[in-house]
Amino acid sequence: MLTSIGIQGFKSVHSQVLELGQVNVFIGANGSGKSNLLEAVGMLSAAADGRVDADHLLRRGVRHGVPGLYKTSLKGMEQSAIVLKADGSWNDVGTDYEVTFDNSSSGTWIYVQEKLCGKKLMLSPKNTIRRAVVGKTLGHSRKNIGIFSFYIDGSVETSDAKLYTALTDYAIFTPTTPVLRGIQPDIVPSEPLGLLGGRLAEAVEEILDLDNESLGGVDLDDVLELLDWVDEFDITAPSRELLAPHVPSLRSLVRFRDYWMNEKRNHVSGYDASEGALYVLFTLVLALHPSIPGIFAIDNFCQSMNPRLARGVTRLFCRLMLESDPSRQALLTTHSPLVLDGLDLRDDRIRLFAVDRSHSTGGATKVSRVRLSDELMEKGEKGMPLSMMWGMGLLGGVPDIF
Amino acid sequence: MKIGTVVEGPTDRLLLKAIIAKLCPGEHDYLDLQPADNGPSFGRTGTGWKGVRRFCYDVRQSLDTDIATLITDHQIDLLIIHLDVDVAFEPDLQEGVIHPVENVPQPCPPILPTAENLKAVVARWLNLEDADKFPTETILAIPSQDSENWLFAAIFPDDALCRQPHYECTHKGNDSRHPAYLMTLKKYGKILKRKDGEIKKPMKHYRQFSGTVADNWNKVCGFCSQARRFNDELMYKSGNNRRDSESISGLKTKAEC
Repeated sequence: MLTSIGIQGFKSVHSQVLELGQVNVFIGANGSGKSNLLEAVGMLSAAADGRVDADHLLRRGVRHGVPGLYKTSLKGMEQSAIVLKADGSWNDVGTDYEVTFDNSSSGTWIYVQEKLCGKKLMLSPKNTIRRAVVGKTLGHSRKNIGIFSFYIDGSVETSDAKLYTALTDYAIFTPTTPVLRGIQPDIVPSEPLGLLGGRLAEAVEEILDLDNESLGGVDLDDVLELLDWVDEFDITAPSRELLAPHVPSLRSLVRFRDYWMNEKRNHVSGYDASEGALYVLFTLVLALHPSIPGIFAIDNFCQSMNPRLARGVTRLFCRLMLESDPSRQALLTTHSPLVLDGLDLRDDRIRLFAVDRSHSTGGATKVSRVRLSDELMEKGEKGMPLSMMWGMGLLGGVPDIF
Repeated sequence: MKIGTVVEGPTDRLLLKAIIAKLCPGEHDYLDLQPADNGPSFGRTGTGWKGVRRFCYDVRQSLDTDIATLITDHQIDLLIIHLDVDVAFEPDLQEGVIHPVENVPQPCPPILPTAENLKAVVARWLNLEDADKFPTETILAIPSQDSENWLFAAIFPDDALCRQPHYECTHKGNDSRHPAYLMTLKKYGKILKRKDGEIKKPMKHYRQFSGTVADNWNKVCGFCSQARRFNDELMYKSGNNRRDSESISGLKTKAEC
């Protein structure tokens, strides 16, 4: 599992270390830098994979902007190289990977250096293509190609290899309603689930077991409890009974049976259904599908959901993540207050972070973990929910707007 | 009418709302007061009888008010407080109560003494002197042994279990004769589920069968004295306590009982 992420000189983040749990929720004002945190991990992921360019970044859900704006550009602060670092531990064996970048005018980032466990990663002069070593003074890195993969060289069991896999598989999911409904293609397609929500029906079908009433091993009742208008759902081929003639046809559709509707006309497709139901399924696929990356991010978690639904989904999502085997990790940003009320912060594996920018930090993004202090516990025990504390500004992560 | 609900869980709320819809046709505004928890972060119980107790404690402690003021402030016509009879056996039922009610569980039959004691316990939770001090808008719904007895009686009114003379005394401890347990069996359509030794209540099935409970409510009342008591109290108080409310069009709402 990744235990921490270090970010230096990336976009609005001057220098921050995120001590991660298994479910990590970031709250903050618009523009505070929440998405930058997710993208920093995306850039680290591309670096570990060997190349940081538009294609490798986009594939991970990172917006590919002007290279000059990737480096921190804050008033009064000198621009420095971007340094990204991930610490991880598997079976109590720790390891870390660090990469330093410089700008590229061509759009492909230049590696200044890569380190594994604090030692420089270099190509062996004997075999400059296939093998990388640590701590040797000979050899050189290949400017715009990372060499972490050469070092791993096919091994899977070591902590270094697990760190490599965790990093390189990482992706940022940002579901959008038209893609979930199937009326727009996913511009970042991937399997089992596109980063914008493409392939939702197929991914649900792959884990839906109607005979045993389970979704990815979870009791379907637990899912249906969240969707109070849904009697049941399944996956079906498109038909004109479900889709209006002008709607583009898909390979398969999520079909919901509406509890309240007349029995002869009570099926609605994902195109017509409440978008909240689609977002719920999307979120659960991420927690349950066996082919989802071991570490992933959701930007704007629980968007388009009623507050109570968001709370319920958060609770179920946390439960599923904590039960996952092998363990999965999620980085989530949200603006939905009741997401916080679904987090059991007494469990150290579930962590909440407030993200702020202010004069005191020179406009740099500052990330603070929200811990259940005696003061917060006292308020909570008197009945004040975390969502209310957030709104009152007691947790940080709010703009100065009144 | 504006109806506040304080119930053990969402499935209980579904059944009660279906029954109310049957007995008091018309549009009602519901104020779901409990469960409406503030999340798990502070170890606060969200559902179950402890959730009901916590709500009662919150009324007088956190909200610094009393139940009568809460009813007035929210313009509630009826406040339904639900608690299953089987909680009478819970050892920490009166934790935090200064003058606890003694010997809450009583021999059954009859069920009435235990139900009356539970009503007194709820009164103590709310810091009321006794059960006769509840505001007139309040109705206690105390199914015996639990809401599943009502559900079972509605779906399987011809089952031999319902026709036993002391149907309401069948306690969970005796699994083989308990309605909730029976409804987990294939023979009874697996309306409820068993998982890890616990009985799970699929919301989907409660939605499906809440209409059956309403349709067969007379039969349920025939088997369950606690259902009859709830029925009578609801009919009486809904007639007396309804505040005239206006719809957005300015027309009087029709809430006939």
